Amino acid sequence: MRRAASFATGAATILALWWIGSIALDSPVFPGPGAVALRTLEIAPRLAAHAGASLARVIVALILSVVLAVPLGLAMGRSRRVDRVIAPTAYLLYPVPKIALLPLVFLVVGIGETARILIVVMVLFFQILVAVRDASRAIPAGYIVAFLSLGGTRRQAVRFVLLPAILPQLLTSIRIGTGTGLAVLFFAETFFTDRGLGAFIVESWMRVSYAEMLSGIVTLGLIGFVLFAAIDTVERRVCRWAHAADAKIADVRTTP
Amino acid sequence: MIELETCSVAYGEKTVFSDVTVSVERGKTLTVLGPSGCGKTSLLYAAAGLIEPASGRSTIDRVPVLRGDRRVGLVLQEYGLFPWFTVSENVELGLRLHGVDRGERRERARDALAAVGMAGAGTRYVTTLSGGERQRVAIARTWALDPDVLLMDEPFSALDALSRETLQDMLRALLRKNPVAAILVTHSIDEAVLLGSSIAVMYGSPARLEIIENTVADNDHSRTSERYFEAVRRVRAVFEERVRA
Repeated sequence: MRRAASFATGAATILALWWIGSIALDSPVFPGPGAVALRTLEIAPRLAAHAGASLARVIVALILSVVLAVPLGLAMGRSRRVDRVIAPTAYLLYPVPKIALLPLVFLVVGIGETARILIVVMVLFFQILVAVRDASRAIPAGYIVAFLSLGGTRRQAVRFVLLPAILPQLLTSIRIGTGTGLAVLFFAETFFTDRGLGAFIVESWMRVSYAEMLSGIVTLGLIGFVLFAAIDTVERRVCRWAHAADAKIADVRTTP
Repeated sequence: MIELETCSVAYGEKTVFSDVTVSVERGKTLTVLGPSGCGKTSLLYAAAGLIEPASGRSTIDRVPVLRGDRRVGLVLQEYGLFPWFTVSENVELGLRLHGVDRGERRERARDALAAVGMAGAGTRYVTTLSGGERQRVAIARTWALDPDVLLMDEPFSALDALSRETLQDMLRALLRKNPVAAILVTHSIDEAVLLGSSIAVMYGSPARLEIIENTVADNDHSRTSERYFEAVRRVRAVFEERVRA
């Protein structure tokens, strides 16, 4: 409840700043929240279709990135040999701005959906890979010793020890990566497609329909927020243990 | 009875210990004393079947010990419990890995937690427990497996003095009630004398063992008795002579 109230306060602050800015600027390029809300209602079905296309691309990219990066990150974190082979390549590719590879991606895999999803995967994959590798490397050897001594196998250790241990860092990397992924997707959607919020925002801009352009921007922001909040909720639910000690300290602080 | 038979452990070129033979009978506790890095933990892991000896073997009642052997319970100094599981889930984990059904698991976990004074803590997360409570749960987890041999790697060394004494007393009571063969690695001479039927001083490189029979080895003596102080003095003298040499 407290969390919902703080989000409502944040939203109200943004709306107030937007409203004040639109009055101060007094320009058709920056309509106020009221005008944008009205226009959004008028174009809701069309906007929803574009939002749906963007959301689908992000979710598919997210799933692919997790499926590819988690096993590889675990292998790198737990095996020096695997790390020695893969880490140099990963370290060289990680800092390359993936958006710069967009033309190459279009040339190699074509201008269809695959290219737009692939470019987001390229962004998310490396962030998740590095986070999972570092998290799995930091798992104390004592956990593995204790698990094996209880009769567990190395394969079972993946399920009972490695995956739970890396989960907080994995979810944090997904949360951070999602923001960057959306930014890259916006750019990728401005080429060779008329579906998606990127295409919609740029097309509205070209038509000098600033209220529609802003409604597209707000919707893109909302998608980011929803994904962020969803990952946050999953993290609070599946990593309850990580917050248990914090909750105990908070109890002490708030107890008179 | 657990036996290490002419057991040698080496990491690459470095031999940690060679041809060590030691045995602990049911109802007896061997405490292992030695300086840091002398190979105490390696000895324990070799006994537990967690590392492959370069030669020799570890057996319980003449049957070789394999990794994850259900007859062996291992308590570590730290990182033994998994923070992502509740206390109950931690205690049940060994049973679960050995295929015990859920109903029996719950019952045995409840009994084991009650035996270490942690009844009612099953739903708590490990991260909310104190150091002493965590070690109680770690002991409960091995206890739930009903092992023949209990191996402990400095289980109380991270605790404050009061918690350590409380847990030492609890362990003595548990071992009296369920007399398994136990090996306890410790840095503390006092603890070694208090809990050990015999005390192994580990020294040198490759390490050797000198076994001292404990004259107060009934696990039922007081920390303030003259016999206890005399035994501590005797072990300390051997320890200093061997380790400093």
